[in-house]
Amino acid sequence: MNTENMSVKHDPMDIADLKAELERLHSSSFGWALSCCRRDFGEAEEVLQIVYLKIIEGKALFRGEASFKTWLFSVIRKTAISEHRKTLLRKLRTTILPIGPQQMNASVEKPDAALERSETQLRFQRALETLPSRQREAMHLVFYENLSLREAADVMNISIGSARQHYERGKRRLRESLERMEPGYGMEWRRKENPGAV
Amino acid sequence: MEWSGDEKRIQALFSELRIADELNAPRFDALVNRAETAIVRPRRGFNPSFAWAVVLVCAIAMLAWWGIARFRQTTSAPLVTTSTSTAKIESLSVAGKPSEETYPAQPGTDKKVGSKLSDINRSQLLATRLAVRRRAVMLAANKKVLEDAKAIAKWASPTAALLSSSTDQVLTSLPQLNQNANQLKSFLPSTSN
Repeated sequence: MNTENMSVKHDPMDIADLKAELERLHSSSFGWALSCCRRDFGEAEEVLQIVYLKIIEGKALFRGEASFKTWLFSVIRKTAISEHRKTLLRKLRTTILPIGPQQMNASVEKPDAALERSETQLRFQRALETLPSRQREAMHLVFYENLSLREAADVMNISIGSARQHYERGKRRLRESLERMEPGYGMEWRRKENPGAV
Repeated sequence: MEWSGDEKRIQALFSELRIADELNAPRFDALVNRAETAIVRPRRGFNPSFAWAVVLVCAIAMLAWWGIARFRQTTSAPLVTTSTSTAKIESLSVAGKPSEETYPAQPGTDKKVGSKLSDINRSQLLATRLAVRRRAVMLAANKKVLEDAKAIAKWASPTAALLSSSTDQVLTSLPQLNQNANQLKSFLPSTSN
């Protein structure tokens, strides 16, 4: 999916429209950025800021080939991947040097956010962390963002068949992980799945 | 999209997560403002990788320059060492000067041929001049060495006078075939009794 263009600039009117659209999707975008950044709040914020910068500068151009939400999510995903690579390189460089307190705090979750999470939520998040990235992405896009499997496939830049496979496997693995963490919880899961639901 | 069974449970968990995330999400205005400030003031800090690249390029350039200079030194040395080759160069330089005058691009004649010939002559002349200049430099350097060599050849030991005697001529000369006996006596040892 070729969604980014380096040279084209937007008109002022277009930027205003884009900003309005971005604001409407802001919370969803942040949730998706969080998922792409392995629930790292600081990194997700940084990624989202870079994405907004790309869109405002005209480096990322929406051509109307897919829905705006799908396009925005694919830009966020690509940016998160490249930022993750950069972070890894930075970590490799600074292995000899001691990490400063500012750097240490950057990846730590806000304390009020941690308090708000219930025990079940924490277990659920831990279970999500055990999933492979593709499966986690498919689950997030379908359940969190209420996207169809086709839209999820567009965002992930894969075929719908692969997206379906990731979704089914992710669901199975998530159930197994949650059963392991909370044995009584499994009773509810043993009901037969309905594959035609999505 | 309709959910059933375990999907409903997952959906509920994801919804809960979404609400928590929305509460902790940064403000859209703040993020956009920060992004716009980043456009206005791009970061221009010291880039260590760029500095390393510059140092590397400089080092390579210096090495190349040194290598070329070294190569020129080694190739120019044999041109001026032998006297025969320098003599040839001299004769070429003498012959090269008028050649420029003999082939001028005269009006009325073929100008292209004239200019081509003059180009060739000019390059030859330049080459010979360069060789002669090199030879002159080398000769100037060798002049002192030659003077020293002459001084060494003329040198005589201060104790050489002590070694000289009246019979030196006898020792250093040979009798001629047609010399008479009286003359030959001088070569015989003197008998007093």
